[in-house]
Amino acid sequence: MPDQLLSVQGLDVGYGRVPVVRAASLDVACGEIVTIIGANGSGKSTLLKAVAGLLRPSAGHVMLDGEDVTGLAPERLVRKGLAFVPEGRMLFGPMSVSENLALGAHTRRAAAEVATDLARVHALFPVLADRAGQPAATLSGGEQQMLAIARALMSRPRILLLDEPSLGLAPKVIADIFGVLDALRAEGLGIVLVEQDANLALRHAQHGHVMRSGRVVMSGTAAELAGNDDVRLIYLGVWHGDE
Amino acid sequence: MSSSELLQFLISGLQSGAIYALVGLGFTLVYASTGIINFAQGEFFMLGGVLAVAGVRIGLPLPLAIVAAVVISAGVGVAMERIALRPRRDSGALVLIIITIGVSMVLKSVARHAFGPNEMALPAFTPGPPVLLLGAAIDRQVLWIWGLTLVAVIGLTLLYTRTRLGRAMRATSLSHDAARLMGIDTAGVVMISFGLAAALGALGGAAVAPLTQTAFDAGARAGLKGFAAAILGGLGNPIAAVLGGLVLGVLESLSVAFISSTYKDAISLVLLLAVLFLRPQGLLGKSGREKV
Repeated sequence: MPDQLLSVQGLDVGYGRVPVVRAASLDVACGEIVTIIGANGSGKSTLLKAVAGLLRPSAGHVMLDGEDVTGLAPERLVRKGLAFVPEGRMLFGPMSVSENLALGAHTRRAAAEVATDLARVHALFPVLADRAGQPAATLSGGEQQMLAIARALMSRPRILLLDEPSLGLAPKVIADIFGVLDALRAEGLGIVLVEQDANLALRHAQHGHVMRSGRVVMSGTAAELAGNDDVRLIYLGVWHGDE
Repeated sequence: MSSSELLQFLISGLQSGAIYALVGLGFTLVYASTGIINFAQGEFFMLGGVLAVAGVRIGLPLPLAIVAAVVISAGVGVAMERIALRPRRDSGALVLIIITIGVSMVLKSVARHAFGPNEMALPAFTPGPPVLLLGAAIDRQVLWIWGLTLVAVIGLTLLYTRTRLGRAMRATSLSHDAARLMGIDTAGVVMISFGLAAALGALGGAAVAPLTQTAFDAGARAGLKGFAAAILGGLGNPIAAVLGGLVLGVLESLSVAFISSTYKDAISLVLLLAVLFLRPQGLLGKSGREKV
Protein backbone atom coordinates (compact mmCIF):
# COMPACT_ATOMS: atom_id res chain seq x y z
CA MET A 1 0.00 0.00 0.00
CA PRO A 2 2.20 2.83 -1.25
CA ASP A 3 -0.19 5.66 -0.43
CA GLN A 4 -0.39 4.87 3.29
CA LEU A 5 0.46 7.97 5.27
CA LEU A 6 0.45 6.34 8.67
CA SER A 7 0.86 2.65 9.29
CA VAL A 8 0.71 1.15 12.77
CA GLN A 9 1.93 -2.44 12.81
CA GLY A 10 1.47 -4.84 15.73
CA LEU A 11 1.87 -2.22 18.45
CA ASP A 12 2.12 -3.33 22.11
CA VAL A 13 1.78 -0.53 24.65
CA GLY A 14 1.56 -0.49 28.42
CA TYR A 15 2.04 1.56 31.51
CA GLY A 16 5.07 0.18 33.31
CA ARG A 17 4.80 -3.57 32.96
CA VAL A 18 1.04 -3.69 32.58
CA PRO A 19 0.19 -4.22 28.92
CA VAL A 20 -2.82 -2.19 27.81
CA VAL A 21 -2.70 -2.49 24.05
CA ARG A 22 -1.64 -5.64 22.24
CA ALA A 23 -0.75 -6.11 18.58
CA ALA A 24 -2.74 -3.14 17.35
CA SER A 25 -2.50 -2.37 13.63
CA LEU A 26 -4.11 0.29 11.49
CA ASP A 27 -3.46 2.22 8.30
CA VAL A 28 -4.40 5.75 7.33
CA ALA A 29 -4.19 7.20 3.83
CA CYS A 30 -4.23 10.85 2.78
CA GLY A 31 -7.72 12.31 2.80
CA GLU A 32 -9.17 9.65 5.03
CA ILE A 33 -10.70 9.56 8.49
CA VAL A 34 -9.98 6.33 10.33
CA THR A 35 -11.84 5.90 13.58
CA ILE A 36 -11.11 3.72 16.57
CA ILE A 37 -14.22 2.92 18.56
CA GLY A 38 -14.69 0.86 21.68
CA ALA A 39 -15.80 1.04 25.27
CA ASN A 40 -14.10 2.99 28.01
CA GLY A 41 -10.81 1.37 28.97
CA SER A 42 -10.49 -0.63 25.76
CA GLY A 43 -7.08 0.92 25.02
CA LYS A 44 -8.07 3.47 22.35
CA SER A 45 -6.45 6.45 24.05
CA THR A 46 -3.38 4.49 25.05
CA LEU A 47 -2.85 3.41 21.45
CA LEU A 48 -3.21 7.01 20.26
CA LYS A 49 -0.75 8.30 22.88
CA ALA A 50 1.80 5.73 21.75
CA VAL A 51 1.41 6.76 18.12
CA ALA A 52 1.85 10.41 19.18
CA GLY A 53 5.07 9.56 21.06
CA LEU A 54 3.82 10.23 24.59
CA LEU A 55 4.07 6.54 25.45
CA ARG A 56 6.80 4.20 24.24
CA PRO A 57 5.52 1.01 22.64
CA SER A 58 7.15 -2.22 23.81
CA ALA A 59 6.74 -3.91 20.44
CA GLY A 60 5.62 -3.13 16.90
CA HIS A 61 6.21 -0.28 14.52
CA VAL A 62 4.80 3.11 13.63
CA MET A 63 5.56 4.13 10.05
CA LEU A 64 4.99 7.69 8.89
CA ASP A 65 5.19 8.09 5.11
CA GLY A 66 7.29 4.94 4.94
CA GLU A 67 9.71 6.08 7.64
CA ASP A 68 9.97 4.15 10.90
CA VAL A 69 9.14 6.63 13.67
CA THR A 70 8.51 4.11 16.45
CA GLY A 71 9.28 5.51 19.88
CA LEU A 72 10.20 8.94 18.53
CA ALA A 73 9.54 11.79 20.99
CA PRO A 74 6.44 13.92 20.36
CA GLU A 75 8.55 17.03 19.73
CA ARG A 76 10.24 15.18 16.86
CA LEU A 77 7.00 13.74 15.46
CA VAL A 78 5.44 17.21 15.14
CA ARG A 79 8.30 18.16 12.83
CA LYS A 80 7.53 15.11 10.72
CA GLY A 81 3.94 16.19 10.22
CA LEU A 82 2.04 14.39 12.97
CA ALA A 83 -0.14 16.44 15.33
CA PHE A 84 -2.10 15.20 18.33
CA VAL A 85 -5.16 16.73 19.99
CA PRO A 86 -5.24 14.95 23.34
CA GLU A 87 -8.24 14.12 25.45
CA GLY A 88 -8.89 17.02 27.80
CA ARG A 89 -7.32 19.27 25.15
CA MET A 90 -4.20 20.26 27.17
CA LEU A 91 -4.44 23.93 26.31
CA PHE A 92 -2.14 26.48 27.91
CA GLY A 93 -4.92 27.88 30.08
CA PRO A 94 -3.48 31.18 31.36
CA MET A 95 -2.07 32.04 27.92
CA SER A 96 -4.15 33.82 25.29
CA VAL A 97 -5.82 32.16 22.34
CA SER A 98 -3.33 33.76 19.97
CA GLU A 99 -0.38 32.62 22.08
CA ASN A 100 -1.77 29.07 22.08
CA LEU A 101 -1.97 29.25 18.29
CA ALA A 102 1.56 30.68 18.09
CA LEU A 103 2.78 27.74 20.19
CA GLY A 104 1.08 25.42 17.72
CA ALA A 105 3.39 26.90 15.09
CA HIS A 106 6.46 26.62 17.34
CA THR A 107 8.31 24.35 14.93
CA ARG A 108 7.90 26.71 11.99
CA ARG A 109 10.15 29.60 11.04
CA ALA A 110 8.52 31.08 7.94
CA ALA A 111 6.42 33.93 9.36
CA ALA A 112 4.47 34.49 6.15
CA GLU A 113 3.34 30.85 6.00
CA VAL A 114 2.36 30.92 9.65
CA ALA A 115 0.27 34.06 9.03
CA THR A 116 -1.47 32.30 6.13
CA ASP A 117 -2.27 29.32 8.34
CA LEU A 118 -3.50 31.58 11.13
CA ALA A 119 -5.93 33.18 8.67
CA ARG A 120 -6.99 29.71 7.61
CA VAL A 121 -7.78 28.45 11.13
CA HIS A 122 -9.58 31.72 11.83
CA ALA A 123 -11.69 31.03 8.74
CA LEU A 124 -12.41 27.49 9.97
CA PHE A 125 -13.20 28.66 13.52
CA PRO A 126 -14.16 32.35 13.36
CA VAL A 127 -14.81 32.46 17.12
CA LEU A 128 -11.07 32.08 17.73
CA ALA A 129 -10.41 35.38 15.96
CA ASP A 130 -12.96 37.10 18.21
CA ARG A 131 -11.36 35.59 21.29
CA ALA A 132 -7.73 36.14 20.25
CA GLY A 133 -6.67 38.05 23.35
CA GLN A 134 -8.59 35.99 25.88
CA PRO A 135 -6.92 33.39 28.12
CA ALA A 136 -7.68 29.92 26.79
CA ALA A 137 -9.06 28.84 30.18
CA THR A 138 -11.92 31.34 29.85
CA LEU A 139 -13.30 29.78 26.64
CA SER A 140 -16.32 27.50 26.63
CA GLY A 141 -15.76 23.77 26.23
CA GLY A 142 -16.60 23.87 22.53
CA GLU A 143 -14.36 26.85 21.91
CA GLN A 144 -11.54 25.12 23.77
CA GLN A 145 -11.90 22.06 21.56
CA MET A 146 -11.83 24.29 18.48
CA LEU A 147 -8.70 25.98 19.81
CA ALA A 148 -7.06 22.63 20.47
CA ILE A 149 -7.73 21.50 16.90
CA ALA A 150 -6.68 24.87 15.45
CA ARG A 151 -3.48 24.80 17.52
CA ALA A 152 -2.65 21.35 16.15
CA LEU A 153 -3.33 22.57 12.60
CA MET A 154 -0.83 25.43 13.08
CA SER A 155 2.00 22.89 12.82
CA ARG A 156 0.67 22.16 9.30
CA PRO A 157 0.34 18.42 9.90
CA ARG A 158 -0.20 15.73 7.30
CA ILE A 159 -1.80 13.50 9.88
CA LEU A 160 -3.97 14.57 12.78
CA LEU A 161 -4.76 12.38 15.80
CA LEU A 162 -7.86 13.29 17.80
CA ASP A 163 -8.82 11.81 21.16
CA GLU A 164 -12.51 12.14 22.05
CA PRO A 165 -13.13 15.52 20.41
CA SER A 166 -16.88 15.32 21.06
CA LEU A 167 -16.64 14.61 24.78
CA GLY A 168 -18.94 16.81 26.83
CA LEU A 169 -19.92 19.11 23.96
CA ALA A 170 -23.35 20.23 22.77
CA PRO A 171 -24.71 18.60 19.56
CA LYS A 172 -24.54 21.89 17.63
CA VAL A 173 -20.86 22.37 18.53
CA ILE A 174 -20.09 18.73 17.70
CA ALA A 175 -21.70 19.21 14.28
CA ASP A 176 -19.56 22.31 13.65
CA ILE A 177 -16.35 20.56 14.67
CA PHE A 178 -17.05 17.43 12.66
CA GLY A 179 -17.97 19.59 9.68
CA VAL A 180 -14.49 21.08 9.88
CA LEU A 181 -12.92 17.61 10.18
CA ASP A 182 -14.77 16.53 7.01
CA ALA A 183 -13.47 19.63 5.21
CA LEU A 184 -9.89 18.99 6.37
CA ARG A 185 -10.14 15.40 5.21
CA ALA A 186 -11.38 16.54 1.81
CA GLU A 187 -8.27 18.72 1.55
CA GLY A 188 -6.12 15.62 1.97
CA LEU A 189 -5.41 15.49 5.70
CA GLY A 190 -5.24 12.01 7.22
CA ILE A 191 -7.18 11.79 10.49
CA VAL A 192 -7.25 9.21 13.24
CA LEU A 193 -10.32 9.69 15.38
CA VAL A 194 -10.77 8.01 18.73
CA GLU A 195 -14.41 8.27 19.77
CA GLN A 196 -16.76 6.81 22.31
CA ASP A 197 -19.71 7.98 20.26
CA ALA A 198 -19.51 5.23 17.65
CA ASN A 199 -22.54 6.50 15.74
CA LEU A 200 -20.96 9.88 15.21
CA ALA A 201 -17.55 8.44 14.40
CA LEU A 202 -18.82 5.96 11.79
CA ARG A 203 -20.89 8.67 10.08
CA HIS A 204 -17.75 10.73 9.40
CA ALA A 205 -15.07 8.05 8.97
CA GLN A 206 -14.14 6.01 5.92
CA HIS A 207 -12.56 3.15 7.86
CA GLY A 208 -12.98 1.96 11.41
CA HIS A 209 -11.45 -0.34 13.98
CA VAL A 210 -13.19 -1.73 17.04
CA MET A 211 -11.07 -2.21 20.16
CA ARG A 212 -11.90 -4.45 23.08
CA SER A 213 -9.60 -5.25 26.02
CA GLY A 214 -6.59 -3.75 24.29
CA ARG A 215 -7.00 -5.58 21.01
CA VAL A 216 -8.36 -4.56 17.65
CA VAL A 217 -11.17 -7.10 17.31
CA MET A 218 -12.82 -5.86 14.14
CA SER A 219 -11.79 -3.70 11.20
CA GLY A 220 -13.50 -2.57 8.05
CA THR A 221 -15.00 0.30 6.15
CA ALA A 222 -17.22 2.55 8.18
CA ALA A 223 -20.23 1.25 6.26
CA GLU A 224 -19.32 -2.38 6.97
CA LEU A 225 -18.93 -1.70 10.68
CA ALA A 226 -22.12 0.35 10.86
CA GLY A 227 -23.92 -2.58 9.25
CA ASN A 228 -22.35 -5.27 11.43
CA ASP A 229 -24.78 -6.80 13.88
CA ASP A 230 -22.29 -7.05 16.75
CA VAL A 231 -21.17 -3.45 16.34
CA ARG A 232 -24.75 -2.30 16.08
CA LEU A 233 -25.72 -4.15 19.21
CA ILE A 234 -22.73 -3.32 21.41
CA TYR A 235 -21.54 0.09 20.25
CA LEU A 236 -24.41 1.66 18.39
CA GLY A 237 -27.11 0.52 20.79
CA VAL A 238 -29.29 -0.83 17.98
CA TRP A 239 -31.04 -4.22 18.23
CA HIS A 240 -31.37 -6.57 15.26
CA GLY A 241 -33.80 -5.19 12.75
CA ASP A 242 -34.32 -2.10 14.85
CA GLU A 243 -33.81 1.10 12.88
CA MET B 1 15.14 58.17 64.58
CA SER B 2 15.67 60.89 61.99
CA SER B 3 14.25 60.56 58.52
CA SER B 4 17.72 60.37 57.01
CA GLU B 5 18.55 57.46 59.31
CA LEU B 6 15.34 55.73 58.28
CA LEU B 7 16.22 56.37 54.65
CA GLN B 8 19.61 54.82 55.31
CA PHE B 9 17.99 51.67 56.64
CA LEU B 10 15.60 51.60 53.70
CA ILE B 11 18.50 51.84 51.25
CA SER B 12 20.34 49.07 53.05
CA GLY B 13 17.18 46.96 52.93
CA LEU B 14 16.69 47.54 49.22
CA GLN B 15 20.34 46.64 48.67
CA SER B 16 20.11 43.22 50.27
CA GLY B 17 16.59 42.90 48.86
CA ALA B 18 17.90 43.26 45.31
CA ILE B 19 20.37 40.44 45.96
CA TYR B 20 17.64 38.23 47.44
CA ALA B 21 15.60 39.02 44.35
CA LEU B 22 18.34 37.81 42.00
CA VAL B 23 18.78 34.57 43.94
CA GLY B 24 15.00 34.20 44.28
CA LEU B 25 14.58 34.61 40.51
CA GLY B 26 16.78 31.56 40.10
CA PHE B 27 14.50 29.53 42.35
CA THR B 28 11.40 30.55 40.39
CA LEU B 29 13.00 29.87 36.99
CA VAL B 30 13.93 26.33 37.93
CA TYR B 31 10.66 25.72 39.74
CA ALA B 32 8.68 26.91 36.72
CA SER B 33 10.37 24.53 34.30
CA THR B 34 10.79 21.49 36.55
CA GLY B 35 8.48 21.82 39.56
CA ILE B 36 11.41 21.31 41.92
CA ILE B 37 13.26 23.55 44.37
CA ASN B 38 16.95 23.75 43.53
CA PHE B 39 18.70 23.90 46.88
CA ALA B 40 22.03 24.42 45.15
CA GLN B 41 20.84 27.85 43.99
CA GLY B 42 22.71 29.60 46.84
CA GLU B 43 25.97 27.99 45.73
CA PHE B 44 25.79 29.83 42.43
CA PHE B 45 25.67 33.05 44.40
CA MET B 46 28.83 31.87 46.16
CA LEU B 47 30.47 30.82 42.87
CA GLY B 48 29.78 34.23 41.31
CA GLY B 49 31.65 36.05 44.05
CA VAL B 50 34.45 33.57 44.57
CA LEU B 51 35.16 33.06 40.86
CA ALA B 52 35.20 36.82 40.25
CA VAL B 53 37.80 37.24 43.01
CA ALA B 54 39.79 34.35 41.57
CA GLY B 55 39.64 35.98 38.14
CA VAL B 56 41.00 39.24 39.51
CA ARG B 57 43.75 37.34 41.33
CA ILE B 58 44.97 35.71 38.15
CA GLY B 59 45.14 39.14 36.57
CA LEU B 60 41.89 39.49 34.62
CA PRO B 61 40.46 43.00 34.39
CA LEU B 62 37.52 43.31 36.82
CA PRO B 63 34.68 43.46 34.23
CA LEU B 64 36.07 40.42 32.44
CA ALA B 65 36.47 38.56 35.74
CA ILE B 66 32.81 39.23 36.57
CA VAL B 67 31.55 38.16 33.14
CA ALA B 68 33.72 35.03 33.32
CA ALA B 69 32.39 34.22 36.80
CA VAL B 70 28.78 34.52 35.62
CA VAL B 71 29.39 32.49 32.46
CA ILE B 72 31.28 29.73 34.28
CA SER B 73 28.57 29.56 36.95
CA ALA B 74 25.91 29.24 34.24
CA GLY B 75 27.98 26.41 32.78
CA VAL B 76 28.09 24.72 36.17
CA GLY B 77 24.30 25.11 36.40
CA VAL B 78 23.83 23.48 32.99
CA ALA B 79 26.27 20.71 33.88
CA MET B 80 24.45 20.10 37.14
CA GLU B 81 21.20 19.58 35.25
CA ARG B 82 22.74 17.34 32.61
CA ILE B 83 24.92 15.22 34.88
CA ALA B 84 23.15 15.07 38.22
CA LEU B 85 19.46 15.61 37.52
CA ARG B 86 18.55 14.56 33.98
CA PRO B 87 19.49 10.89 34.39
CA ARG B 88 17.08 10.77 37.36
CA ARG B 89 14.32 12.95 36.00
CA ASP B 90 11.72 10.21 36.17
CA SER B 91 12.40 9.54 39.84
CA GLY B 92 10.02 12.12 41.25
CA ALA B 93 10.44 15.57 42.76
CA LEU B 94 11.69 14.45 46.17
CA VAL B 95 14.63 12.50 44.75
CA LEU B 96 15.57 15.43 42.52
CA ILE B 97 15.40 17.91 45.38
CA ILE B 98 17.66 15.70 47.50
CA ILE B 99 20.09 15.54 44.57
CA THR B 100 20.20 19.35 44.51
CA ILE B 101 21.16 19.31 48.20
CA GLY B 102 23.93 16.87 47.35
CA VAL B 103 25.16 19.08 44.51
CA SER B 104 25.14 22.02 46.89
CA MET B 105 27.46 20.15 49.29
CA VAL B 106 29.77 19.16 46.47
CA LEU B 107 30.04 22.70 45.11
CA LYS B 108 30.75 24.06 48.58
CA SER B 109 33.48 21.49 49.28
CA VAL B 110 35.11 22.00 45.91
CA ALA B 111 35.12 25.76 46.47
CA ARG B 112 36.62 25.27 49.93
CA HIS B 113 39.47 23.23 48.49
CA ALA B 114 40.02 25.40 45.45
CA PHE B 115 39.85 28.82 47.09
CA GLY B 116 40.58 28.15 50.75
CA PRO B 117 38.53 28.88 53.85
CA ASN B 118 39.18 32.61 54.11
CA GLU B 119 37.01 35.59 53.29
CA MET B 120 37.79 37.08 49.89
CA ALA B 121 37.24 40.66 48.80
CA LEU B 122 36.38 41.90 45.33
CA PRO B 123 37.32 45.49 44.35
CA ALA B 124 34.42 47.89 43.99
CA PHE B 125 33.15 48.10 40.38
CA THR B 126 33.58 51.90 40.39
CA PRO B 127 35.56 53.12 43.41
CA GLY B 128 34.72 56.51 44.83
CA PRO B 129 32.98 58.29 47.68
CA PRO B 130 29.34 57.42 48.44
CA VAL B 131 26.59 59.30 46.64
CA LEU B 132 24.55 61.51 48.98
CA LEU B 133 20.76 61.46 48.75
CA LEU B 134 18.58 63.43 51.19
CA GLY B 135 21.16 63.07 53.90
CA ALA B 136 21.68 59.35 53.35
CA ALA B 137 24.88 57.95 51.87
CA ILE B 138 24.60 55.38 49.09
CA ASP B 139 27.68 53.33 48.32
CA ARG B 140 28.40 53.32 44.59
CA GLN B 141 28.36 49.54 44.64
CA VAL B 142 24.74 49.65 45.80
CA LEU B 143 23.87 51.59 42.67
CA TRP B 144 25.53 48.82 40.67
CA ILE B 145 23.50 46.21 42.50
CA TRP B 146 20.26 48.04 41.77
CA GLY B 147 21.19 48.67 38.18
CA LEU B 148 22.18 45.07 37.50
CA THR B 149 19.04 43.75 39.19
CA LEU B 150 16.91 46.10 37.13
CA VAL B 151 18.63 45.05 33.91
CA ALA B 152 18.21 41.37 34.83
CA VAL B 153 14.51 41.80 35.58
CA ILE B 154 13.81 43.76 32.40
CA GLY B 155 15.82 41.29 30.34
CA LEU B 156 13.97 38.35 31.84
CA THR B 157 10.59 40.00 31.32
CA LEU B 158 11.40 40.68 27.66
CA LEU B 159 12.64 37.14 27.26
CA TYR B 160 9.43 35.73 28.74
CA THR B 161 6.96 37.94 26.91
CA ARG B 162 8.60 38.82 23.61
CA THR B 163 10.59 35.84 22.44
CA ARG B 164 9.87 32.43 21.02
CA LEU B 165 12.10 30.87 23.68
CA GLY B 166 10.26 32.71 26.47
CA ARG B 167 6.91 31.53 25.15
CA ALA B 168 8.26 27.98 25.04
CA MET B 169 9.49 28.38 28.63
CA ARG B 170 6.07 29.52 29.82
CA ALA B 171 4.36 26.69 27.93
CA THR B 172 6.77 24.18 29.47
CA SER B 173 6.02 25.51 32.95
CA LEU B 174 2.30 24.88 32.37
CA SER B 175 2.60 21.35 30.97
CA HIS B 176 5.59 19.41 29.74
CA ASP B 177 3.47 17.00 27.68
CA ALA B 178 1.47 19.76 26.01
CA ALA B 179 4.67 21.68 25.27
CA ARG B 180 6.27 18.62 23.70
CA LEU B 181 3.21 18.12 21.50
CA MET B 182 3.89 21.65 20.18
CA GLY B 183 7.40 20.53 19.22
CA ILE B 184 9.09 22.27 22.14
CA ASP B 185 12.31 20.64 23.31
CA THR B 186 11.37 20.68 27.00
CA ALA B 187 14.66 19.07 28.06
CA GLY B 188 16.42 22.02 26.44
CA VAL B 189 14.13 24.47 28.22
CA VAL B 190 14.94 22.86 31.57
CA MET B 191 18.66 23.09 30.81
CA ILE B 192 18.39 26.75 29.85
CA SER B 193 16.43 27.46 33.06
CA PHE B 194 19.23 25.99 35.17
CA GLY B 195 21.83 27.99 33.27
CA LEU B 196 19.88 31.25 33.62
CA ALA B 197 19.16 30.62 37.30
CA ALA B 198 22.83 29.99 37.99
CA ALA B 199 23.84 33.11 36.05
CA LEU B 200 21.42 35.29 38.02
CA GLY B 201 22.65 33.89 41.33
CA ALA B 202 26.28 34.40 40.29
CA LEU B 203 25.55 37.96 39.19
CA GLY B 204 24.15 38.67 42.65
CA GLY B 205 27.16 37.07 44.29
CA ALA B 206 29.64 39.08 42.25
CA ALA B 207 27.74 42.34 42.66
CA VAL B 208 27.59 42.14 46.44
CA ALA B 209 31.11 40.76 47.00
CA PRO B 210 32.78 44.21 47.11
CA LEU B 211 30.44 45.23 49.97
CA THR B 212 30.27 42.13 52.14
CA GLN B 213 33.25 40.02 51.05
CA THR B 214 32.61 36.42 50.12
CA ALA B 215 33.80 32.92 50.93
CA PHE B 216 33.16 29.28 50.11
CA ASP B 217 30.31 29.13 52.63
CA ALA B 218 28.42 32.23 51.47
CA GLY B 219 25.88 30.15 49.57
CA ALA B 220 23.75 28.74 52.36
CA ARG B 221 22.62 32.06 53.74
CA ALA B 222 22.02 33.58 50.29
CA GLY B 223 20.12 30.46 49.28
CA LEU B 224 17.87 30.67 52.31
CA LYS B 225 17.12 34.34 51.70
CA GLY B 226 16.50 33.82 48.01
CA PHE B 227 14.23 30.87 48.78
CA ALA B 228 12.27 33.00 51.26
CA ALA B 229 12.00 35.74 48.62
CA ALA B 230 10.68 33.30 46.03
CA ILE B 231 8.18 31.76 48.46
CA LEU B 232 7.12 35.18 49.71
CA GLY B 233 6.34 36.33 46.18
CA GLY B 234 4.76 33.06 45.11
CA LEU B 235 6.85 30.48 43.30
CA GLY B 236 6.84 30.49 39.55
CA ASN B 237 6.26 34.19 38.98
CA PRO B 238 9.52 36.10 38.31
CA ILE B 239 8.16 39.56 39.07
CA ALA B 240 6.73 38.27 42.35
CA ALA B 241 10.12 36.88 43.34
CA VAL B 242 11.67 40.30 42.85
CA LEU B 243 8.97 41.91 44.95
CA GLY B 244 9.41 39.18 47.58
CA GLY B 245 13.14 39.88 47.71
CA LEU B 246 12.72 43.62 48.13
CA VAL B 247 10.03 43.22 50.82
CA LEU B 248 12.22 40.75 52.68
CA GLY B 249 15.28 43.00 52.49
CA VAL B 250 13.41 46.04 53.76
CA LEU B 251 11.72 44.12 56.59
CA GLU B 252 15.09 42.76 57.70
CA SER B 253 16.61 46.19 57.64
CA LEU B 254 13.72 47.73 59.56
CA SER B 255 13.97 44.99 62.15
CA VAL B 256 17.58 46.01 62.67
CA ALA B 257 16.44 49.62 63.03
CA PHE B 258 13.59 49.04 65.42
CA ILE B 259 14.29 45.75 67.20
CA SER B 260 17.84 44.47 67.12
CA SER B 261 20.31 43.21 64.57
CA THR B 262 20.29 39.93 66.50
CA TYR B 263 16.95 39.02 64.94
CA LYS B 264 17.78 40.03 61.40
CA ASP B 265 18.20 36.52 60.03
CA ALA B 266 15.28 35.21 62.04
CA ILE B 267 13.00 37.59 60.14
CA SER B 268 13.31 35.70 56.89
CA LEU B 269 12.69 32.37 58.61
CA VAL B 270 9.65 33.65 60.46
CA LEU B 271 8.36 35.23 57.27
CA LEU B 272 8.99 32.02 55.34
CA LEU B 273 7.03 29.97 57.88
CA ALA B 274 4.24 32.53 58.11
CA VAL B 275 3.79 32.56 54.34
CA LEU B 276 3.85 28.77 54.14
CA PHE B 277 1.23 28.51 56.88
CA LEU B 278 -1.02 31.41 56.01
CA ARG B 279 -0.65 32.05 52.31
CA PRO B 280 1.21 29.20 50.62
CA GLN B 281 0.51 30.63 47.17
CA GLY B 282 2.66 33.69 48.03
CA LEU B 283 1.79 37.38 48.06
CA LEU B 284 1.03 37.62 44.34
CA GLY B 285 0.15 34.00 43.65
CA LYS B 286 -3.38 32.93 42.87
CA SER B 287 -4.84 30.27 45.14
CA GLY B 288 -4.83 26.80 43.69
CA ARG B 289 -3.26 25.69 40.44
CA GLU B 290 -4.47 26.85 37.05
CA LYS B 291 -6.62 24.24 35.48
CA VAL B 292 -7.68 23.60 31.94
